[in-house]
Amino acid sequence: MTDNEIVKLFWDRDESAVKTLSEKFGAFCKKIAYNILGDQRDAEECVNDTYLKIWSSIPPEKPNNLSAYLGRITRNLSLDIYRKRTAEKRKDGNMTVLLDELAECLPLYGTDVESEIDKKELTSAINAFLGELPKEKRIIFVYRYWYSASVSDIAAKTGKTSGNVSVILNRTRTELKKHLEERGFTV
Amino acid sequence: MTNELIFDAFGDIDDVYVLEAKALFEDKPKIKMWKKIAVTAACFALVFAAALPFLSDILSPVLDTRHNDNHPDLSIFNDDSKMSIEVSPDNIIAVNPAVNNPPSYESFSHELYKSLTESEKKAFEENFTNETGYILNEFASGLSKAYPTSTEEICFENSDTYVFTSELSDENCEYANIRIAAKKRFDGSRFCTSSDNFYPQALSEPIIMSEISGVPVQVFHIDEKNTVYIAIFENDKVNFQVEAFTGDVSKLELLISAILTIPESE
Repeated sequence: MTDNEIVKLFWDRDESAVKTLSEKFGAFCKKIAYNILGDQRDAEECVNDTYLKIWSSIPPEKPNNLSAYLGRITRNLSLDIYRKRTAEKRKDGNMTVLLDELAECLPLYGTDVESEIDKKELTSAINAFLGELPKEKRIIFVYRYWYSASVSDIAAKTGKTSGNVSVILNRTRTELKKHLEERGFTV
Repeated sequence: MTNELIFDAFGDIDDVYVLEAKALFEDKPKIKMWKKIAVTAACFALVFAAALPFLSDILSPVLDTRHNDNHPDLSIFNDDSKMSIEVSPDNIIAVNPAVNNPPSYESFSHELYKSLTESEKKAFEENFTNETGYILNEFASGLSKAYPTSTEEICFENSDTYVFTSELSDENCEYANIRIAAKKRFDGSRFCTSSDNFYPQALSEPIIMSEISGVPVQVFHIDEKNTVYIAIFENDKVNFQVEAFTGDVSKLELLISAILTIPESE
């Protein structure tokens, strides 16, 4: 079944929509959630929440790309669960490292003025930066910070060494930081 | 928290980039080239051993070529030389499984080419070789012969950029990525078309400018701990960029010397 047909099922309020969605994208969503949460049970719970959210958001939404839409919701819900867990002092190693890495890119890190940053502007600047990156670097960078993949996973998928992937990520983060500084995202 | 702010903002990037990386997300882990070679060689050996009694009278060199004009993927298996070449719009991998560790590229541009029919030669040239490709292959061949490396692959990254990349590791360097680009030299840029091959960090003043085998070489630091160096040099045919991970720059010079003294094949 095509993505558009699945979206149509949701629009028709057909209860088989969730089952079809689960069959086609269940593993995809679960992996995103697991990458962030590092726990199978939490990941499954998050994926169920994702289906619920999709059910309540389509309609009125009509996503052009279902997998990206679905992935984004899964990612956001996973982050919510992560935040809740962090508040309960159950920090997950991979995610903590990942957040700290990305924070290096933002010159404001460590200050209290982040509220002044417009998230949309920041996203727009990141989009512009990604657009300038060579394809291979961009894929690795997005795979790390959107899909929350581990360095070893990236290395395995790309056939590179972990050291090589780390260097690419480190270099790209430095470039992103410079890019953001040039666009006024600075103290 | 600031770190979550940027993670949140990253979450809203364009769908195009999300989908682009999705392919990797769904990929199975790549098998290392030497494993592919070993498996391929083992398969060939098994198939030949099993088929030998039945095929002894028709064991002339076998060439199986598949080509699709719409998707110029092409696989050629020359059972006589055990040569294997796989080509896609993004990659070309040429290895001789019979000579493993390091794999040999030595007969790629000659024996295999000669074994093709005229139409196959045409497809071969149009789709993944040209003068530039030949030059790079000669260097790849020379490198694997001249330097004890674990050269793994030759990649032609896209139609505009012809790059041979090689990952080396030996006692001198923890590892080194060698990128050799040819033909496309744009004004103001020393290295072909891809910014991937032109590190902004290298725009700073070189720490070393010297001559190695008669060729001017510039060496840059690209990290604060001085463990990563980039060397930039060129000869009359190709541009070189060598990124080496070593605490000792003299070892990088040895590597450059080895590259520059590679004898070109005919």
